[in-house]
Amino acid sequence: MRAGRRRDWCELEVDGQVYEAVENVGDGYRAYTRRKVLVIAAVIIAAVVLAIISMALGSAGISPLEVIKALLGQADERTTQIVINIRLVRVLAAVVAGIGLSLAGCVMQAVLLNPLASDYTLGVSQGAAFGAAVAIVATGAGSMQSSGADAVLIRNPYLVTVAAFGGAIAATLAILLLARYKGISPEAMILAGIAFGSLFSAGTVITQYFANDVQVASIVFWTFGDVGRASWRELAIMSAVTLPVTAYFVFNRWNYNALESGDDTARSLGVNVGRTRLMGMLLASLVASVAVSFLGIIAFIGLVSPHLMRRIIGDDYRFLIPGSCAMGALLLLASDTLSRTIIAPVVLPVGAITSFMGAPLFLYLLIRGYRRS
Amino acid sequence: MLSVNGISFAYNCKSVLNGVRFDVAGGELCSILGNNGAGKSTLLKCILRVLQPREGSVLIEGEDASHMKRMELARRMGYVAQKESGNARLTVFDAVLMGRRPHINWGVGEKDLEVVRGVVEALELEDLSLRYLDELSGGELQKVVIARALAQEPGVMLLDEPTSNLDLRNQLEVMETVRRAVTERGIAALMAIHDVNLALRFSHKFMLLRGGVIFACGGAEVITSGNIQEVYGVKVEVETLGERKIIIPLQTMEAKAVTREEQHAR
Repeated sequence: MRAGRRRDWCELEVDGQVYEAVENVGDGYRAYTRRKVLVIAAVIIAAVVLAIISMALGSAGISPLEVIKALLGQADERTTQIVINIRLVRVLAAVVAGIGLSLAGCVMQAVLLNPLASDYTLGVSQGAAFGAAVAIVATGAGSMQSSGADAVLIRNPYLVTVAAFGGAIAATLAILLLARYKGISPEAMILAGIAFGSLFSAGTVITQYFANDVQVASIVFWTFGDVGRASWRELAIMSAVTLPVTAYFVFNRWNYNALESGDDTARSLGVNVGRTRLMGMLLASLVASVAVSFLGIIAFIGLVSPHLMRRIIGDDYRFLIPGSCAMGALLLLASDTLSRTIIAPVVLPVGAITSFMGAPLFLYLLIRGYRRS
Repeated sequence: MLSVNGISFAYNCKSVLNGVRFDVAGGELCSILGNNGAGKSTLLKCILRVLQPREGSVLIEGEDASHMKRMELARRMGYVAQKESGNARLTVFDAVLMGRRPHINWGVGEKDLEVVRGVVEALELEDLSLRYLDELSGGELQKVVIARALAQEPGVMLLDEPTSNLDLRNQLEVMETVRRAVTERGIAALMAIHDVNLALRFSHKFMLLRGGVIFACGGAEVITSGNIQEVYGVKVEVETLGERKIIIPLQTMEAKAVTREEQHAR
């Protein structure tokens, strides 16, 4: 017990003059939250700027100003055609997929109380790859094409997407059923995810072993994630899933914060722990599955972008959820821009670039430690 | 005010609580005393509705808690766990603000900030308010958890061995904080605690739990060497130092076997 508590703890007296550092605890806190909002706003602005630059880059020689004009419908027809129909779709696909994957990782980490959780570590991506591989081989899909972003054209892309989605959902349900009926702990759920991931990877390998050259090439190319695969239709489906789920997660932000204190304490704060965990896993997997099924495997975004934001603005999900969305969009956009331009006209697989960009950045932040505000 | 009416609970077939019945009035701190496995934590979890009692009911201010929505319950009852993980990157202020969650519909309002500020000041956490939880000592963290429960503005507070991970000074500080909050705010508090002397010093009321049944319940008069020997299976001496009762443990006795037999008989 401290004797003689000072009520004016924030006042500093120097040479008879009283300086007020922070008026009271609430104001100090407001300043602290304002900084978080500013960081998130900065990431969003960076993403928008990068989106415009990204739409300008390419062989057509369009300036960022022309891009803006085209978006506002004031450019000539050719430019508008290129910007809206080719580049805007790609950029928006990167943004939506970046949001989806990052958000999925963020929420999986929250409900499983494990920093390693993401669509990749829980086997969702591997499930999708297995589904796609089976569809490619079983339907005899896959035929070589010599040029273009994807060297392989899949004969029946919708079937492959549906199969990939089925695989991803199967992986998710397997874990959730174990959790529901065997009551396994969040830690065990991660381990189960890793086990299912290995199982699906093995399945993919076996499938490839019995496939012919063209099919193997198709499978391998499918697994290289590429945001250029999306057309307006795919983008619409991805958005239709991602946006409501994002809203649901934002709505549950307090619950994810409460889970950090342990299940019993969370219950005492009014959280339905079982439902929060189940719905969080299900919807996070759904969002990641949709992105992976349409675009292929884009590793690391789901792991690295929430953690980047955790390092910068902390673990408060009220800020971390929008922050992760913004960071995921920015990272995937940056990766895609780099993959298109670094050795143009060759387009590198964006999945590899995300790891190339994300891993060193992540390692740097790990080594540097947390920043004090 | 908290009324527990004949709660019984069993894990599978093993009876843990049997017909536990007691009241805690507002402004009263009641300590649950008993050995490991006596049912202290189970009792708290039944009241908190983490576990579903097989029979019996819990009344909070005369209303049946089992009919309340979880959020409604959270507005009336706070919980202080034995140990908060405390490795989240949340500031102290954020953590205390979480106690407002049952009251918050969408955004944090002025009233919420006001309540949090009041609790933070009452518990003298101002200087720590923008520190992260993983930068706090055990005692500081425990005070933050108590502050969070107080920010819920509950009528009832449950504490599960709040001092078990703390050093001597922090044990006293935390108990002083709890006692002051309970009396000033008129909260009915129920606390599971191992340290009989700490309980003696700060509680108004004592409940001796043995094998899932109440052995004795009442004021400091129920803390006699006979009762302690029966409940803990330890031979003790009860001394008074000034006005304060002090328990001095002497040696263990063969009482546990009796307890088990009793349990089997049930």
